[in-house]
Parts: sequence; structure tokens; C-alpha cells
Amino acid sequence: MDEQDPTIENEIPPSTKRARWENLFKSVHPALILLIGLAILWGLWSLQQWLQRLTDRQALFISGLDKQVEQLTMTHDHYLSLENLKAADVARFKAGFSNTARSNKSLFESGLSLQEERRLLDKQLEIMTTYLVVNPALQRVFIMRGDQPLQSYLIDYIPLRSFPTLTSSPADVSGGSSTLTSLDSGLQSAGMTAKLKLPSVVRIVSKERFAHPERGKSEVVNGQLQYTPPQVDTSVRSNALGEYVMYTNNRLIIHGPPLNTDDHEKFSHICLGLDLDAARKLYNSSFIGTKIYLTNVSVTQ
Amino acid sequence: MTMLAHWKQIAGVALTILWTTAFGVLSWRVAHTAVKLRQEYEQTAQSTQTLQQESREITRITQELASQSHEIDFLQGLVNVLPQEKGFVRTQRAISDEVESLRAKVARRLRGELNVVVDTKANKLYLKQGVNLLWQADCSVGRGGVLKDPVTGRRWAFVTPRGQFEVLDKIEKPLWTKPDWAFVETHEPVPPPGDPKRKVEGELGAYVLNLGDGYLIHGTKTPELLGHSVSHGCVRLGADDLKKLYETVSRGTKVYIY
Repeated sequence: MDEQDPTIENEIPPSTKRARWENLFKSVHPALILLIGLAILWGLWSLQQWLQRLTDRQALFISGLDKQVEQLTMTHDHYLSLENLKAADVARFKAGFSNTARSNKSLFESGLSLQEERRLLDKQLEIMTTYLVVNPALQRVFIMRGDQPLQSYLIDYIPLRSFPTLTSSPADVSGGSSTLTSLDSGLQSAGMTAKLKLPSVVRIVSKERFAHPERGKSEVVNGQLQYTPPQVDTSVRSNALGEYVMYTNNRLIIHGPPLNTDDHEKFSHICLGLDLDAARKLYNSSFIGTKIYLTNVSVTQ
Repeated sequence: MTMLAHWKQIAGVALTILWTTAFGVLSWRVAHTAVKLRQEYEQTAQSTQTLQQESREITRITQELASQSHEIDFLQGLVNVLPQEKGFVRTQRAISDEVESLRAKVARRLRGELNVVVDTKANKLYLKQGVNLLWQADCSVGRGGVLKDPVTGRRWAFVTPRGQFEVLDKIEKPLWTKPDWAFVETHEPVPPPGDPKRKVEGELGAYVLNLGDGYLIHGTKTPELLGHSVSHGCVRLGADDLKKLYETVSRGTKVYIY
């Protein structure tokens, strides 16, 4: 059996093809051919019309879209300029705010600096102009600032008392005037009750919130150095001066009530005889270097 | 061939030509319209994209405007926080007059001499020539409080005393002789005076200015605490400031502590 070649169609000569077509046309009625031709043309025309309608509709849509785009572009431009204006406003505001802040800051800093200098000068002047005055007529000690008395406190001893008394034995003298000490000793040895004279001005040189006891005791026991720190209870100095102690560059010592009266009388110093409150306030209100004026103040044993 | 057949053939050819022409024209018009339609679709897509972009941009601008409005509101709020001038300048002028008067009073007493001032409340040290400030530094002064020795009953108040001192001595590379309270504070037995245990190197920094009565201006091992009241009564300074002070002041320079 012969196999049919699929490419046989291609091998048919053109003249045969044409003949076939001619045969086909001859076999079909010409009116049908004409109808088909017209139908094809009508189809094309309809297609073109349909496309045209679509095109027109699209053109209309585009026209509307263009209007919208135009409108939106205008809105966009408007917003953009608004944004630029707002940004400029913010920038201006920030610059203004920055200037205001800077100016306020410098105003504040200069104010602070002035306050600081005022405090500094005020305190320095306070130290320079504060002094104490012992007024024997009023039996008071005054805290003075310039010409103004700030506060005054009653003193027990007018004339001021010099210790140790004739009946008590002298204790260790620390920071006292050697002249007056020797005078004290001389007067004691002579058995006299004497009036002593203080300089008219003395100065506070040291302050102790709590009177320190004397030094501890060191001794060698069995070849070893043993040290006993000073004890408050047994210290004449601590017991005599108590709290709020202010030493002067003379024998005058300002202090609170003694812890032990006997030790107070034994301890060599000149005393005002203050109560605790007065001693505390004088201690807190005066400074190292504060002068104490003692005009016409006498001292007795 | 008959005449009729001949005319038929001619008519067929003419019709074919006519049809082909009509077909060609219609095809061209279809193609043309299709191309135009495609262009219009592309234009529509482009316009739509433009619209979307513009819309997005407008949304962004609207948000930006809202944000800027918030920012302005915030800044306006801040302006209200700042202190208003009002009578402040007048008060400042009055304080300035007071300061001038104080300067004159203090200047008369200082006579242009170099002096040191220590503010124990603010923990500041000032070096001045007369009333003119040369420089200032943070310092540390006495922390206050009382230490009690339960053995001997002694009490120490760690306060920097106020008043007028003077530089009695200047010492380089000082040795610190530990006082009794330093041992009591650390619960150690108190050695006798002169005991080698009392000598400590480097505790006081490189320099010391002795103000008398056991009070010093010296250095510190804890510079981070400058500006706070932490010392036992001395005035502590940072190493650089201490060196500067040591090199500037001489013996006898007044030191005002308040």
C-alpha cells in the first residue's frame, strides 16, 4: 500500500492549484460569490465603524481626563506654592524663635552672672564688715555689720572673767597670750585680786564646733610604745569649753556653757560667760578673722 | 465564446477590481482606526498615571502642610514656655546698680590685690584681682555632719569654716599626716602622733596651699565629685586648677570662704 506523503500538497504545481480555484469559482454561483464579497466588505466596514466609535468614545474620555489632569495640575501647583509658603513661614518662625531663644538665653545668663557676682561680693563684704562688740554698759555682745547692730546677746561676766581663779590651779594654756599668762601667774603668786586689761581689738583665729581634748598620752610599756587617744570625759579643755568654741589671738575664748565648772575654772582663758544659744548664734554668725572690739572692757579674776 | 460570456468576464474582472479596492480601503481604515485607538488607550494610560502621580503628590503635600502646622503650633507653644521679658530687664538693671555699688565697696577694701574666694554653698572657687574675676573652678568643700569616736567621745564636724584666711604656706608634693578622725572614720586604731602609719603620699595631689588651723586647699583623687560637698573641711580642687592656683597666688594672699 502506498503511503501518502503529507507534503504532497506543496508539490502540486501552481497551474493545478489555479485550476482548482477556477473549478471552485465555476462550481459556485456568481451571486453567492458576490454576496460573500459584499459580506466581507460589510464586515470590514462594520469593524471600522465599531473601532471608530470606540475611538470617539475614548477621545471623549481622554478629553475629560485631560481636563481633570489640567485641574489637578493646577491644584497641585497651588498646593506646591502653599507648601513653599508654609515652609518659608516655618523657616522664618524658626529663625525668629531661635533669635528669641538666644536673646532670652543671654538675658537669663547675664542675669545669672549678675546674681552670682552680687552673691560673691555681698558675702565677701559680709566677711569684711562683720565684727563683734562687747558693750560692758549694756552687758551684751553685739554682732555688727558696718554700723548696724544685727543681734545682741547677754554676757554673764562684766567685767570679763580671767581663769584660772586664784583658788584653782592653772591648766594648760593653748593659744593664749604669754604676757597675760605670766601676769596672771604673777598676780596669783602675789595673792592679789587684780583688774587685767585686754587689747581693744582681738580677732577670731580658730573655731571648734566641739572643744577638742588635749593630746593623748604615749608611754612605753614593756619596751613597746602605747598610745592612748585623748578622752573627752577626762579632758579639762573639753570640759571647760564645751561647744561652739572660738579662739582669739588673745586669751579671750568665746564658748558655750562648760561641761564641768571646776575644769572651766582651771582652764586658762578669759571668758564672756555665754549661754548655749548665744554661743551657737555667735559661732554661726562670725567668721575666721572677725574682729572683736573690747573698748573699755575690763577683766577681773 | 459568445459576446455575453465575454461581457460577463469583463464585469467579473471589474467587480473583482472594485471589490479589491474597496477591501483595501476598508482594511486601511480599520488599521488606521485601530492604531488611533491604541494611541488613545496609551494616552489614557499616561493621563491616568499622571493623575495618580499628582494625587499622590497632593496627598504628600497635604500631609506636609499638616505636619508644618503642627510644628508651628509646637513652636508657638515653646515661645510661651520661654520667660517673657516684662520687667525682668528693669530688675536686672537695678541689680546691676547694686552690684556696681558693692564692687565699689569691696574694691576699696581689696585695693586691687589678688584674692581667692570660695563659695561653700555652690562649691566654686574664684580667683580675683581686686573685684575682677580672673577665673573660676569647681571645688569641693566640707560635707557637713559630725563624726563621733565611740571610744574617746571626741566629735568632729566636717565643715569648711567661713571667714578670711590667708595662704600661710605653699607645698609641692605634700605628704598627708592623717589626723585622728581619718582612723576613727575607717574604724582603725588611732596610732600615736608621728607614727609612720599617719604619713600618706599622693592623697593631697601635687600641691597644697595651707590656710592654717588644719585647713588646706589641695587636690583630689575623685575629680568627678568636684562641685559637690564631699570633703572633711578642706577645699579640694582639680589637678589643673590647683596647679594654676599654686602658680598664681603667693604666700599672704587672702582667701575668703563663705
